[in-house]
Amino acid sequence: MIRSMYQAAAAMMAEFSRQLTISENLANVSTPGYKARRTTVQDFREMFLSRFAGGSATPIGSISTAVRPEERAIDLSQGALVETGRPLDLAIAGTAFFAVQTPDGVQYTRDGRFQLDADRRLVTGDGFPVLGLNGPITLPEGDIHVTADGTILVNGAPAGQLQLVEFPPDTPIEAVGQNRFAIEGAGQQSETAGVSQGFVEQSNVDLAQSMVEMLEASRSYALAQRMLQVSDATLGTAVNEIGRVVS
Amino acid sequence: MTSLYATGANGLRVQQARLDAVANNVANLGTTGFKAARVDMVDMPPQPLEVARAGGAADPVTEIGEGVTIGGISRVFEPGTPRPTGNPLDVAILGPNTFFVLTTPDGQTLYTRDGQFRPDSTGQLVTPAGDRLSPPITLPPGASVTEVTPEGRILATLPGEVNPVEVGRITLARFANPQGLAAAGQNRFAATVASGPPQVGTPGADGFPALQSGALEASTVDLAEQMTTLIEAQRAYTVNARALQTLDEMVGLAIQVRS
Repeated sequence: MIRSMYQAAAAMMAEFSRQLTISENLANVSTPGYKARRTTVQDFREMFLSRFAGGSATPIGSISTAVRPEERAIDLSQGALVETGRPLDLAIAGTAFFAVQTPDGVQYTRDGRFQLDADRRLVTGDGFPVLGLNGPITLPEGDIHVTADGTILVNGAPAGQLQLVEFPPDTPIEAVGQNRFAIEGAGQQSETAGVSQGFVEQSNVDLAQSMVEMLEASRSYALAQRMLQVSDATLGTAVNEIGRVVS
Repeated sequence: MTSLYATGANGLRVQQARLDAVANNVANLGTTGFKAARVDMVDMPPQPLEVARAGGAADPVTEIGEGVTIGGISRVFEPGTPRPTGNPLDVAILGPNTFFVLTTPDGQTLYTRDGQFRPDSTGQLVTPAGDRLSPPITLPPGASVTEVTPEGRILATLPGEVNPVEVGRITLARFANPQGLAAAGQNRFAATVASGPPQVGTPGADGFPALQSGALEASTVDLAEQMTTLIEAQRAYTVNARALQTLDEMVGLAIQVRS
């Protein structure tokens, strides 16, 4: 009985953390370059039950003790490219990332809303330099054109080439805020990714899917809560009713 | 631990800011030289969600981001379409990232793309708000301005003369990072550390764009684009309100476990 109460409580906690993740995704439904977070629910340890009778143990089978939220994953699928017409809005089609020099080391982003700072360096919205193959890129005055392989031309003359870093699949990725990711391990310049100038990559959060998951999470939560109440009532009966002397 | 409701609340706040920006852009559909603003959103770093256990340290169960925040408001100083007005002292800049230089009555230097200049009672060229063009240009008494050349020369006919003569020259300023300019109201901007110092030059030379006399630069607000943003922000607002409500219902259920 106590076991079913713990299981119900664990299910409530798992669904609650799932709902928090959905909220986070929905808050970023229109954030360019955002990649949806995914939670999965995992079995807790299984436990093996045996029946003891007449001095011998007969195996019955195993039972899961609870569920718990698994570590979150990041869904790196491509977001839609939307035209803005701004010359320094860049979007990547493909699996690569832009590299950004931050005080915490090189971080990576899919959010290509870049600007020029007071020294005419190409920087992110919060002012950190975007890295080219030879470090930060400084652009002279003139018309800026970015080709598909990330080469930046100013009045037709090359001014640098953007790093478009690709990582092997299953490389651990950690979101660090500001639409950036910290990625351990060595990446290499992508040969397949293409840069589109005047576009931003929309968030890859699927609104309809998120709404369905939200319904699922809230109903599962309500069900687990009901299960907790039923377990509680049953336990109450066991404690108060069984063995009572009927007068 | 972060507040459970922070994610939804941040979502609502950011979408509200987008709606406000759309309202401001649309209100300035007819404002000369106005540049549409865009709210740039960024995600927030994840925080560990901890669960305290009896007799033990708090145990990080999972990581939850606080959702979204505003990274900045950006404008692009692309040129708007020049609209003919017929008044030679209406001047449009035919290229991006450059500004007329103004001196306010209290001596501050500001920058604008709104080129409506008129002589004041002393003949000095001022904007409708009363800011003087910098360096100051004073029209001789009785002068009638015929044209501002693409290079910024102001040509006027003096009383008793037939051929127009140059009475002053307009200079322009540009910035390495116009995104860093601070809006100073009334279509004017102030230089900041982020924008870098102004580079001053003459129109049509050294990469500075030419001027067009007798025209004003239309607002760059694109109504269709603003309407799309409006609908999108409104939908995103609704869905965030819904997420907040669902979370609240779940908290309510937890409270009612023993009732």
